[in-house]
Amino acid sequence: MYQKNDIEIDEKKVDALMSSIIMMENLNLRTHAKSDSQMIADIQDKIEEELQCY
Amino acid sequence: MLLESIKLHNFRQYKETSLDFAQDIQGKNVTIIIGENGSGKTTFLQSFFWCLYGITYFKDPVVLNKDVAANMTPSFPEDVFVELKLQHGNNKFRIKRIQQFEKDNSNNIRPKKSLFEIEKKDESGNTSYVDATKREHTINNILRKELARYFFFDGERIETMGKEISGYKKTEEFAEAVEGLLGLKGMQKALEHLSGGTKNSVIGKYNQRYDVNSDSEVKKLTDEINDCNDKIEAYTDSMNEKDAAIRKAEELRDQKAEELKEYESSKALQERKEQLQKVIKRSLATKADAQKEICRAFNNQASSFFTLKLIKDAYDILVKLKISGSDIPSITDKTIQYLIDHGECLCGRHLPPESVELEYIKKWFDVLPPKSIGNMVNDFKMTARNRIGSLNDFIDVRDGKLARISECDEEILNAEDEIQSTIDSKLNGIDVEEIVRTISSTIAECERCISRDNQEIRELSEKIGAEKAKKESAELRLKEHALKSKTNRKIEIYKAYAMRINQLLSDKYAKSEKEVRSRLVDNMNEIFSKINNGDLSVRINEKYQIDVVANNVNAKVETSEGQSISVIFSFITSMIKMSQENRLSDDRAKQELSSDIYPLVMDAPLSKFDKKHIQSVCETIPHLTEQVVIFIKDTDGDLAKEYMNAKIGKSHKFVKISETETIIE
Repeated sequence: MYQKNDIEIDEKKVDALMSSIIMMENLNLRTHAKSDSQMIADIQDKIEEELQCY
Repeated sequence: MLLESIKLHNFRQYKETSLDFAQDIQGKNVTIIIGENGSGKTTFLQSFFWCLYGITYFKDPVVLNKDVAANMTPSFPEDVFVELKLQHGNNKFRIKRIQQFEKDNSNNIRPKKSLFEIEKKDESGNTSYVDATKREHTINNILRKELARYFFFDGERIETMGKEISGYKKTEEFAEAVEGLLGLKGMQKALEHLSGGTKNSVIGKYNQRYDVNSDSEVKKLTDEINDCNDKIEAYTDSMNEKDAAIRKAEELRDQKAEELKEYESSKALQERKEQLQKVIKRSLATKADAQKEICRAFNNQASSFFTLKLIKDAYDILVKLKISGSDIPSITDKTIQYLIDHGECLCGRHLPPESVELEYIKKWFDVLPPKSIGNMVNDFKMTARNRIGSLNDFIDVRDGKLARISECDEEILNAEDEIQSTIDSKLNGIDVEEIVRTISSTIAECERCISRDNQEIRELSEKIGAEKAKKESAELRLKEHALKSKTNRKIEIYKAYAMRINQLLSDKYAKSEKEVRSRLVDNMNEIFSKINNGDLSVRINEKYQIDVVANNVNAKVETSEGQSISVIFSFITSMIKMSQENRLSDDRAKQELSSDIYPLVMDAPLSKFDKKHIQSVCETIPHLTEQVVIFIKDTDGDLAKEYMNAKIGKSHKFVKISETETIIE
């Protein structure tokens, strides 16, 4: 666990999120299906989905 | 991107030509196209560039077939087109570029309208045409023009790239190529999306999502943070602009410094030329002075000079004659006549008519001039001697001056000869001094801009630091308030995760970039040492400047043309090999570094290597990527077929019908 501003951060989740974000970016670099704004929204969705339990 | 087929219509010597490319079915991924010299291999390669980017490197911009052009009549235009079918990601594309040409009444071929169309078929089989405004973007998404040259390369291009590498030119482009091809781009984009913009980023968006209605302090702090963000963004933009200006100025400065080096030898030549020009000027002045002196002396002695012969002859005669000297110097018969007329001698004695005294004095008529000329002759001889003497001085002066003039002529001739044959031919008539002055002034201006912009960047950096501190303080206070509200607490948590991901990803990127560079160096050295018998190795620094090092002395060496070609060959092949390794790896970290599939299209790659290395090159190339297209000289064809036989999926042959037509068998 990593602590930032009194918020405990689960490093396993961070690692999983980081990997899936890179994969998403690599996929998009191949398909060019999504714009930058869409990618930002998708990353936000991904983070929020992973942290649903909070 | 994988190539499926290409069709050429009236493109240079290809009137109607199409061919399919090997699609890596049963491991056969090589398409080999054999042709004799001049059959149009390079032209065919250029057709890919023309189709995708509308550019060629031909001197003649008219790509219309010469036979077709010759048979054209005004008002009846002809089309040239290249149609490329390829697969990129999950989509299939048909890209067609058409250029119409028309002949005017003066028989000149002029380009008329052009057309560019891209048809896209997605994985569901839906076909659509890409909008005109998005076509260039689509092509760049398939394969950026800057990266294209790493996949479609001819021998000449390899040479230029080799020089660029050894000259540290375009290192940013090489770095970008590595990032793009070796998967670092994905991480770069992730970092950009997480924190790239203060508003347009994941963290920026969370900053804007706080529920400001629940707490007035949250609103105040959010506004404060947004204000800080706006300022940071503005300062950062300004800093980036300055940074770009510095890079541009540095590039220009380095380029001009290189130019200056090239002019240094010319400068020495120019100095020598000026030295010789001074010699010529000095010799011309000396020669003119000598000529003036001869003229001046001649003017003074002109009559003597022309009468010299007569005087000399007379003198020679008079010297031999014995003439009495009994006459009285300066007394003539007129003096005697005067005395007789006045009837009185000089001594005062009267001279009456028929007197003895008168008779005596009359006898002087016989010994005085004109009856006697002894004294005149003596006078003449003396004058003649003087004149001959002074003329001899004049001749000595003249001969001395003529000798000097001759020396001057020789000096002028030698200097002019050196200028014309040794210097002017190298200088091509340029004014090196002026050019060197201009270049030096540009360099000085660049230095001034760099220094000024660096100072401004330091100031902006301080301002950003101040805003960041202000923002951090506001964020801390915001957090305290935000955690009180359930909605804002959630946002705070999301943001904390986004920031942590950003931090770790940033570290990961730095580490991956270092590893990728190290792997690239290892791979390059593996290929490079095969070609250069292990005597040389390659080093790449963090700026992607590539050095070739002699292993025995462990020092940087200047590469020959062949070695430069080996460097770029190993650079390109290593990048492509690593990209493929990443794609096929089971290692998740490597998979993250995978990029698109790209074909490797090479024009006569074997011609750059000697026979000894052709086998290793042939055995290396097919394993570099999923698709390889090789244009090859007919003389290397058999060797290539022998060494790559198991990998050749398609084989074509260019047959040159005439200078204006080539067909494919």
